[in-house]
Amino acid sequence: MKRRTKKIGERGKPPLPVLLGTRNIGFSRMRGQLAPYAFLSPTLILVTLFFFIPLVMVFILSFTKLDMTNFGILEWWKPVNWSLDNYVKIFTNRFLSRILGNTIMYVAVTLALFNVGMALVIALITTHIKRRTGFAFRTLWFLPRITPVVVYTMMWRALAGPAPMGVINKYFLVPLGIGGGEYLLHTHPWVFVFLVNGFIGASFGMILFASAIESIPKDYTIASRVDGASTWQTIRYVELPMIKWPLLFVTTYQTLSLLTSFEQIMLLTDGGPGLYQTEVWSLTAYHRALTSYFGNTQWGYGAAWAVVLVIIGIVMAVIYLRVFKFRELVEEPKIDQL
Amino acid sequence: MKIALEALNKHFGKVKAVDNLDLEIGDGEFVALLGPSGCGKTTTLLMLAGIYKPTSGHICFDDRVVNHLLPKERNIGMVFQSYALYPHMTTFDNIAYPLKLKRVRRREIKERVQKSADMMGIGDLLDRKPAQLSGGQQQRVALARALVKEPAILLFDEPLSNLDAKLRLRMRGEIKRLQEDLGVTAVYVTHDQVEAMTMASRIALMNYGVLQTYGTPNQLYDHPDTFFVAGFIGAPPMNFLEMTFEERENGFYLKTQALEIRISAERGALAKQNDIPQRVIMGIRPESVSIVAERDGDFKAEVHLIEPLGREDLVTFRFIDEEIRVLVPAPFDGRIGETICLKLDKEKAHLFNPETEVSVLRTGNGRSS
Repeated sequence: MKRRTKKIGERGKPPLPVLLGTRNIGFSRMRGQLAPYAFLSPTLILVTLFFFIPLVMVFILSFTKLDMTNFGILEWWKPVNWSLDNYVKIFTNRFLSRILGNTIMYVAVTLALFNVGMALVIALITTHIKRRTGFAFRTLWFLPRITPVVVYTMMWRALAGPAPMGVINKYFLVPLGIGGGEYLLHTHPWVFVFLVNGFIGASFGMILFASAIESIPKDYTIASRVDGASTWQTIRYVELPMIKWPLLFVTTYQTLSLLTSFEQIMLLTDGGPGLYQTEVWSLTAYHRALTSYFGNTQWGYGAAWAVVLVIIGIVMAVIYLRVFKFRELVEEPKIDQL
Repeated sequence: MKIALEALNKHFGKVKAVDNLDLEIGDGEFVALLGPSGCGKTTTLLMLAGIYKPTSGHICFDDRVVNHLLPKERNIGMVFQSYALYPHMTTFDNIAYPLKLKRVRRREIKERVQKSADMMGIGDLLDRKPAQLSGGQQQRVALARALVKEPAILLFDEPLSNLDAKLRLRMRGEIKRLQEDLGVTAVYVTHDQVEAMTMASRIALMNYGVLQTYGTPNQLYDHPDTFFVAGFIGAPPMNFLEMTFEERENGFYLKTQALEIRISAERGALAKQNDIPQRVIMGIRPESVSIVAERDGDFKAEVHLIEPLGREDLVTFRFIDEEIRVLVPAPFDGRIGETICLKLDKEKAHLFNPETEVSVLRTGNGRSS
């Protein structure tokens, strides 16, 4: 990064020193070196204000006992008031294994079945049928993503309602003789957590995979078919390896966004219906830090939950880069010599 | 394997990419599909490969209609302009791919891949990825991949267009030699008439989806059927002059403002028999015009441009408002602006009807003389 800005700075030198006269060279050089920072400054200021400072603050807060009751009294910025108590509290929490298990299940199942799995299936199907039909289908599938999240989640709650109000019960389950028409969010909360997140999540990968598949030059698929491959073999041996990069990106990106996403779960079950039944890590952080739990709002404790989540996310990202051999993906081709 | 195309059509919406094509290719023959871009030659090739289904008509391999056969059931090998080597596979895996799909045993795959790689002179590059190979090497890998399954038909889609001039010349010879050694039927799509002339035993020249002519390179060069063929084949291209045809008591004449030539009674009669109109297009190749002393010349022209080609010089002459390009032995000692006498080899002149664009010197069997 540093080297690059320097390079731009050098290139930014005006190419007409003769016209400017010798006296001005010093000034123009300085201006040339400052110009890139001037252009960068709006972004730098925004990133510093709304990303970097909050990040540092959350990190510091996670070592303090700051909450609503001692706000304004506790000098949280002083190292004297810092301790590892919050972290000890997290790792001795008797619901820790349940929350961790919920998080892993939520991320793994939603990612595998929907955000990557179904996204890939839809992308493959819609790129191997008539172009226009495929495009229309993908557009439809994209609708949940551009629907306001509250409306979308409330719609699912209504769908899951007990008979005779709930659509799923009334028109599918009861006529088929499945279940007694109970509120489905109470009987199968996880199914709905997966579905609600998955239907939105799959659209992201679908768009990326479909455009990646469509941008594979036709010669490769023709060559593969002439070489004797069936459609499935062409997908397996030629198309999938060629979209490795979007696969890595979607898997990594969606893992991280699933780890930190909780709004649909909050609106759908709010961690229930049983004690911590669908509570995931990020929802716990939110509950501890920003809802009035046990009469106070434990900012410091919630921040500690968030920090652990960030560390989990970083570890996951590094593992993905290793598994997908990121270095090989960005390897530059050797210069063509005849 | 013999190939026969019968009344073959391929339409994309309203566009007739291939229009009523009839073509026969003999066993072991090397045929070039030649034409400008968008003429339907690649569409024809992809129909042979089984990628496109014909709108109507038949494709026969050895008298068997194969319209409905999938690419993998046709036993063909194909080489692309882009090489289309799978970038995530090594050279070995690329060449082995057709065999792997056929579920050939691993040991046999290894032997056959090594054999065809050695034949192409890339036996020591088997563990490289395509990105680590030069264009020429990639081309050889693509050839090895096409040959490894011992296909009955080899299809080439402009395979040399991405190579530099020197390498192209070499690969041209290598492909031709390889095809002859293996005795495999080959169909070669190209827009480069030199490539088609040098490699193919017969050339099918196409334009706007329609087959213009089908014959040996020499037939196409010496006796073009149509105005399009005459203009497309040959580099530098044929000269065309608009002339008036006249029959007089003492023979047949072609006239313009600047020159008047007499053509032989035999050719004149043939032209008359083919309903030669009064206005005709005369075509003459640059090598059929020569510089002569003043008394032997047909007409005088001014030197306009001299392009040395090494062995010969290509000289552009101007007379009145016409231009004619002439190949003269190098070095040409004339100067720009100088007026020089030229003579046409009348027996090598071609005459075309400007309306139908068909040669009026064609004989009964359809071939112009």
